[in-house]
Parts: sequence; C-alpha cells; structure tokens
Amino acid sequence: VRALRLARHALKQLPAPLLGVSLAGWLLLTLAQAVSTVPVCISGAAPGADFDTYVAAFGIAQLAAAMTGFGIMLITMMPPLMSGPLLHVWRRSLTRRRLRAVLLFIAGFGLVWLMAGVPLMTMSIVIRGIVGGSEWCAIAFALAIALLWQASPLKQITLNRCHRRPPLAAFGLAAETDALRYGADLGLWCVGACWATMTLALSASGLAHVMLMMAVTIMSLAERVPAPQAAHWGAALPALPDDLRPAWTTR
Amino acid sequence: MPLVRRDVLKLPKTDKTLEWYSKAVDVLKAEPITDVTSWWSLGAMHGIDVDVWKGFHFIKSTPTPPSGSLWKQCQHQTWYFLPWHRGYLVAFERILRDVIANKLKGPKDWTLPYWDYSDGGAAARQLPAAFAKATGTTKGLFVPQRYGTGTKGHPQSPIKMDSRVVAVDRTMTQRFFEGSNTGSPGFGGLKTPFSHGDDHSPFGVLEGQPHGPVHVALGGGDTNSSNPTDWGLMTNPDTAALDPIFWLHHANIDRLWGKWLRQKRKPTDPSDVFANPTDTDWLDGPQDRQFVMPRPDGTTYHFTARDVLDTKAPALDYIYDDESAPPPSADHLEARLESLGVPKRTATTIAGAPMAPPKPAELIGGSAGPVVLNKDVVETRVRLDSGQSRQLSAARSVQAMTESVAPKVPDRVYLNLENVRSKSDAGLFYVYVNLPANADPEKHPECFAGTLSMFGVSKATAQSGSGNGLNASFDITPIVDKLSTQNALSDDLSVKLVAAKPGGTSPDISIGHVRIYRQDQ
Repeated sequence: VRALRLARHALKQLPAPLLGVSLAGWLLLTLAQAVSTVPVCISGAAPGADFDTYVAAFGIAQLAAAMTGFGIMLITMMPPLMSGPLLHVWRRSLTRRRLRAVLLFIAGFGLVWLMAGVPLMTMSIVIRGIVGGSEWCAIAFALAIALLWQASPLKQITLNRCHRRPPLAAFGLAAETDALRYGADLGLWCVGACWATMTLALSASGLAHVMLMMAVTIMSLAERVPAPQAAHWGAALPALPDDLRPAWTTR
Repeated sequence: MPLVRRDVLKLPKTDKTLEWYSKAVDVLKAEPITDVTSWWSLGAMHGIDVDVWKGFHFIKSTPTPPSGSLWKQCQHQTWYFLPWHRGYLVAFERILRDVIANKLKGPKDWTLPYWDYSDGGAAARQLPAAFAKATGTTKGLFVPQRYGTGTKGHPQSPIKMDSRVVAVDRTMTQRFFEGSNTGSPGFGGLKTPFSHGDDHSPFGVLEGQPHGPVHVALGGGDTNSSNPTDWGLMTNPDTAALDPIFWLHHANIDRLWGKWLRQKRKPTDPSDVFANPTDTDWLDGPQDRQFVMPRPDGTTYHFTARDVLDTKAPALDYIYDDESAPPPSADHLEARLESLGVPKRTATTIAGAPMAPPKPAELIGGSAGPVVLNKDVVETRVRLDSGQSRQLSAARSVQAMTESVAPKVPDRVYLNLENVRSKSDAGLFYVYVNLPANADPEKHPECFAGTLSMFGVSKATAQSGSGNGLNASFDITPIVDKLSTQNALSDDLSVKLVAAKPGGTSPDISIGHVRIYRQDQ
C-alpha cells in the first residue's frame, strides 16, 4: 500500500512527455499481440525444456526479436524512473542545447541497458533450465534471487548512486560528453539496482510478464522516492510498521 | 489568550525567563536518552550521529532508537523546513513548560524567547550574555562544546556575528513560498519528499539566509577538520539542538515566517504571493514518512504542515511580541523599477498591473569547471551565452518600459552554486558579483549576493548518500539591475567567494559548477 502511495505521488510529478511514452509502451504491450515483449526464445519454447533446447533454438532472428522485446520493456518501464535525471539534464543545459543534451543522455543510458539485456535474458533462460517444471517455478526462483538482492547492502549502494546529479558543463564539447557520460553512468547504477527485479519480470511470459513488469515499475518508482541512506542488510526493503519495531516503554 | 514569545534582547532585567529555561535544561539533561522527553532524545529528534555524540561524551554506548521513528527527523532543503521546525519548537516548549510548572514549581505560562539578531545593529548580533558564560542562575545555557571539544577555543568571546551573516532584507522580498530548482528556491523551499538533509535540493531562501550562516557562525570550528567534534554543536545538524541557543535561533526563524506572511499582497497579485502553499502534498505530507513529536507525558503524536499553520490555535497557542506592529511594506517592484530609472508614475502603473506566475527559469551562463575554496578570496569567471547580456540590458531598458503598450516587468536573475561539497560543515563564505579588483568587500554592499554556509554539506557530500553535495541559490537581480543602469553588463561576470574567517578555507571545499539563470516574470 505504501509503495502504491509513493508511486502514485511520483507519477503525479511526472512530466507529460515521459508519461506519454510510458503509457504508449503499456498500450503496445497489452494491445499489440504481434509484438512479443518477452524474448521469443523464452515464450516460444515449451516450459520445462532443458537448457540445450533453449540454446539450440537461439539464432540471429531470435536475438533481434529478443532485443526488440527488451527495448519495448525499457521504453515502457524506464521513463517514470528517469524523470529526475532527465529534468537535471534539461535544467542544466542552455536552451539551444537542451534537446541534444537530453538525446545524448538517453543514448548513454539506453545503450548500457540494452547491453545489460543480453546477460539478463540469458540468466532468465538459465533459470528456466535449472528449475525446469512449470513457469511458476522459474518465477519463484527468480523472486528468491530478487528478494536476496533487494535486502543486500549492495542494492542500497546502487540505489544511492541512482540519486547522483553530477555537475554538467554548459558550453562546448564538454557539455555533450558530460550528458552522454551521465547517461551511461546512471545506466550502470540503474542496472545494478534493478537487474534482479528485471530478471524476475523476464522469467514470465504472457499476462504474468506484464503484471510482473507493472509490479517492478511501481516498486522501482517507490524505492527512488526516499533520499539516499546508509547501506546495510535490509536498508532498501520497505520500513517495518511501527508496531513491529523494537519498542521502548514511555513513561 | 495565546502566550507571547518575546525577544531575548528586550527582556526586562528582572525577567526570569532565561533562569527558568536554564533550570529546565538542567532537569532534562539529568534524564536518560531512553526518555523521549529528555534533553538528549529531544536533540536526537533533530539528528544524531552516535560516534560524534560519543566523541563529545554525551553518550557512552550506542542507544536503541525509540519506537515511532522519533529520531533523525529534521527537515532541510525542503518545503517542510518551516512547518517541521515549528512543530518541533512547540513540542519542546510544551515539555519545558511542563517541567518548569510541575517539577520546578515555576510559572505556568513560560514561553521560549527568540533572538532577533538582524534588527538592532552590532549589539543584537552578539551572543546574548546568559549563553556566553557559565555564570549564576543561567549557567545551564552555556555549553563548552559550542566551540567543539574545547581544546581549540573560539577566537571571539562572546561571539559577534557579521551583518552579512544575519542579513534578512532580501529574504523577506521573496514573493512565493514554493521554489524551483533553477530560479528562486522560494521563501520556504522546494517541493520534496521527507528530507533529512541528505539529498541535493537547494536551501529555501530563509533556510539559506540567515538560518544556515547563523548556525555556522555560532558553532564555528575548524574548517580543515573532517572530525565533527572539532566544529562546535550548532555547526552540525546532528548536534545543533544540544545547544540551548538553537531554540532561540529557530524561534526567530519561525517568527520571520509569520512576518513574511503578514506582508500585504497588492490586489493584482496572485493569491500565492506571501502565502503558504495550498498544495495538499505540503498540507498533508510528507507521503513517505510522518512527522512525530513527544508530549510531556511521553506519549507521541503525528502532525502535518496543516496542523501548525495557525499559531493561535489551542494546539499551538502562541504569538510573537511583534505581531501587533503594522505589516512591513511589500511594494518592492515599484522601488525596483524606480531604481532602474523608470519614472514614478510609470513604475506605479507597471507594478500595479496583474502579474502572471513566473515562467520556468532558463540557464544563460556557467563557469568553466569546478571551483576549489582553498584561499581566503577565490574568484571564478562565469561566461554568459552569446547575446544574453544584451537581452538582460534590453529587458531593463527604461525606453522599452515607458514606450511599450504592454510593458514587461524585467526578469529576475539567480546565481546558483551547484554540487557544493565539503568534508567540514564549518565553512562560511560571502559571495560577491563583479567586486572590483583589490576592493574591500565590506565597502561594496551593492556587489554582495549572500552568504554561503556549509551547514549540512558534509553529510550531503558523504558517499553513504548520493554524494551530490548541496546546491545554493542567490537572487542577484539587484546586482544585475545596477550593472545594467551603469552600462556595465558584459558576457563575463566575476564571482568571488570571500572566507568569513581568514584561513577558514580548505582544499576539500569545492563548488561543482557556478551557473546563472534568468527567470521571466
């Protein structure tokens, strides 16, 4: 409930163009049956097939389709998460340079995420191979990995870095390279913070895939609302309600 | 009748307010930190760094925080700065009043005094005598840790603040409560979630001047040291509330909020000029963590900004002693237009016309790179984008304003210091624009933009957070106006940062970028 409230609050602040892009992605996902947003090598193979079957089914066409599907996932899920950084680039650029700076930032960010897509999709295939059985087993396995990562101090460290708003040069070549570098840097930290939950979303197909994507987006939005904090086990997990905390007696 | 908070500098000689305050502080200090109404727990509500508190010998072991997220709540770099601190003062005052009335058998109507350091010249800027020395019936108001561990002492006794530290006139002319990231940060700050000072938003105008500089000036300390026990209590948000003067300083900030609200809007002004936000995100926020305060009986309650807007309401029940005075004049625009050379009648007409809300600010110039504050005076050049100085001059042209059918109010200009990073909170710098070479800064108030304090900067710099450092914004419209009337606006501005204390510099203090923004009105 708290995550939903925070996500709603974050969505309210979202610039209209970002909201529009994200909504278009969701529409495409739910309406356009022709586009497979989950890599075809996953959704096309029979559940429970062994790892060799998956590998054998993989070719250039499958890779292209998989990357297209992954790209649509990014277009759908990332705009709400990129609002703060994109506004940072927009506000710190001269009016005549703004569009270029934003495009360079998106290029850096998107490239890192697309490159990360290959190992993430491979991991979801490997999970299916390891677990076997129904798709729900793969989802449960990916969920366990995601929960472990979410609770780890490394998750909080990478999440903190997602709050980075570095100085950006105003003039010259430095203005272009700063925007590109910021996009790539943020992409790396964002992959660090979200790789496990993205793998979870990739572990399902069909409606379950879309529902998991939605849940991951809401959670990722909510976890970016609070300010950075010291990293320790459990730091990035939602705070416990007061009645579950160690209590003092008040006089 | 609401109780009256009075100016500490105007208390009659026979008045016992400070004596009772001192006695109550002693009582609260004797209680353990595990008591939510103790001096220590009340201080930890603002902030606590266990290692620093151990370094000052306030605690011996790591305490378990109380239930209900009571500690580490202070709100900085946010539009919750004023309402949270008001709620904090009310809870503190009620606990002290209860101790004074019931434990000490003193008056039942004790109120927290405030310290108005901005009006009253040099005498008003000197730390009130009762706080400066541990003497007589007010010895509880002196804390040796005000100057750090006490091994280095403080060059002044008592502390005398510079007029640039307490300057408040420009702060009071800010028209809107809520600010933006690039233009004015607003009188009250930017829209944020719960903000315990570990993210990168700029200080609101009142928080930046005089709030932060007064904190650092009263704590002082070693600018080169990254050890917070070398800084002094008021310098560090995690120890500030352990100095009894903290509460008088914040009562003054709270009073200035009320004074700002009492400024009269012109009939043509939008309804949010000199007014609190009506956004429910502010009134009922924050969404991500609730504000909580203790009652004298040790139970706790939650509150929102909406709950602390009317100080005369029974739950707050106080006013300040200057509230009967007529509201300060607010016709700053007319005076500004006249200073640009616009004839009085035209200035009155333009200033009286309906004004739309300001547009988003746009970047018009920036420095070449980072600035390191390792010398007493550091200069950086800020280059304006091609044609921008011409545009600034054109917007201030008397001819354009007198001959146009629909004259525009000239834009406002902001100097933003971004990604200010420091390992010490003790730095204090005066910011000047186009100060003549080799000039004595004190003799050029027309070039003075404001005071940059490092209050809270070390925490925002730490890698345990985002590491962004903080942002500070200064309204330099009067300086640009003056340069325009002198035909001295060029595409290259000089920004000088002058250390408030000679040697109060460090290679660890830096500004990531200096930028200039223009905001159409």
